[in-house]
Amino acid sequence: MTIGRLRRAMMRAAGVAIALSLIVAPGLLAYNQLIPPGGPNAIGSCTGSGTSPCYHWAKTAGNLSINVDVYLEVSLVGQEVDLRQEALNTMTSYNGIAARNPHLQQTTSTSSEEIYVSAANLNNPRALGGTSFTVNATGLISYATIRFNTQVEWDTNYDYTCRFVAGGNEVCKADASKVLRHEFGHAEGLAHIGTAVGVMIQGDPGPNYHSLQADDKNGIIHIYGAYP
Amino acid sequence: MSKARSGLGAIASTVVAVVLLALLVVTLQMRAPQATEPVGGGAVPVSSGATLSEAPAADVGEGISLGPAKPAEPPNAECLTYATVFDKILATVDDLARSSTAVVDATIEEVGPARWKTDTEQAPTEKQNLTSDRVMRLVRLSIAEDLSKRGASGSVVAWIPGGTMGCSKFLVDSYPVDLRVGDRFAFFLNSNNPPLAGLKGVSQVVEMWPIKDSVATSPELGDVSIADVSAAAARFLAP
Repeated sequence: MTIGRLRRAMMRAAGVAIALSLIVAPGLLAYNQLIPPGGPNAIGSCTGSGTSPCYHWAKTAGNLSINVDVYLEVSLVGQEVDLRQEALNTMTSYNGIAARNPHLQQTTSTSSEEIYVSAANLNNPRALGGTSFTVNATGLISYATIRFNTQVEWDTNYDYTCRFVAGGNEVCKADASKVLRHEFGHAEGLAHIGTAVGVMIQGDPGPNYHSLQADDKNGIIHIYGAYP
Repeated sequence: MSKARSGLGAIASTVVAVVLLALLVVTLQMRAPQATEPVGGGAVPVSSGATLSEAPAADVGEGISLGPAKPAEPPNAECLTYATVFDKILATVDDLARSSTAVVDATIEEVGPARWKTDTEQAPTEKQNLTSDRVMRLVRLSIAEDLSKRGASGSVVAWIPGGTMGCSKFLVDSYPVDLRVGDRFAFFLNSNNPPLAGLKGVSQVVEMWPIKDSVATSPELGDVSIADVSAAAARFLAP
């Protein structure tokens, strides 16, 4: 190979690399901000290291993931949509990411659970769900609670609307499949995103996501690392 | 026999006296003003039922102690952070005004200590209930302007989720954990959701938007002029 051919080959390779980086970069840049130990109020200031670690479960090396026990309260079954089945589907989705994020497994014991999932009245018709954490100073999550609002009329039609009814109260509808994936995303450490590129968009119907998107998976990989 | 009769008479007299005394106590309790309903464990009176929506011109909160009768205890000695993020369908200014009972431009005058928003005012015993939204603070607000044009003035006591207990922080999404006296906000209040049975008339702060230069900043909607907030509030809440 002459020097000229070698130079041309190297330039072609460089061009391919630049083109690839342009394709990949937006996805990498778009991963979720992560919830910092300063709390949801401080979303955006979390850098993931040093004095600003992000909320996360224990991390492992290699291809291992820690197991996290999830208790699904019976209240989830009595809603318009079977939220317990949706929760199980959601857990499978997160377990399917090629990352070292926690392996979510159902438990029937309320003494050993690390994530407690229930349906409850959140006293705000516009609140779809809420995720609560207990974390230490390094952002390590030791316990999480996920609640879905019983005031909401749950469906799977991707219907996000509110209406005022007699007495001046509001009644809202929401898509169970997306909200379940959203709340479990919080429980894994993901925060909200500002654009509708994944299930972690807040309060906006956006595209009809019933499955985790690249942005959601990239967020998980960013926190826990991909399988090597 | 006569001894027995006189003994029975004495017992009957005692019973009658006790019944009369009990009736007197019950009557006095029924005549007592409603304003003696206990606040946070029972020491301080609160104007029962006096809400911004029902009595807009009255000062709601004068004399109310912002702390519980017994200082709240953190759930454990370890310094932990408890945080909650709620996911809501975004509301427009109109939506918020319509679901509020009052909207005021006010400054924080006094901040009470964090306390448990549970029936017992103690930390929940079940770990799944140990969430940051079960902690709250009472704040006294000095009303600069009733944006809902209902004539509210003076001060009002309201509750805000979250707070700090010992070295543990209880964070609730979109509510500041550190509240400073003198800070000015547009407060969307709801008096239909008292935090505790003994705190009727104490409004919930549904949203609080910091105000600067006649502009309020919503975490979700961004900058909104006070004129627009006032117009929406007056549209749905003005008498």
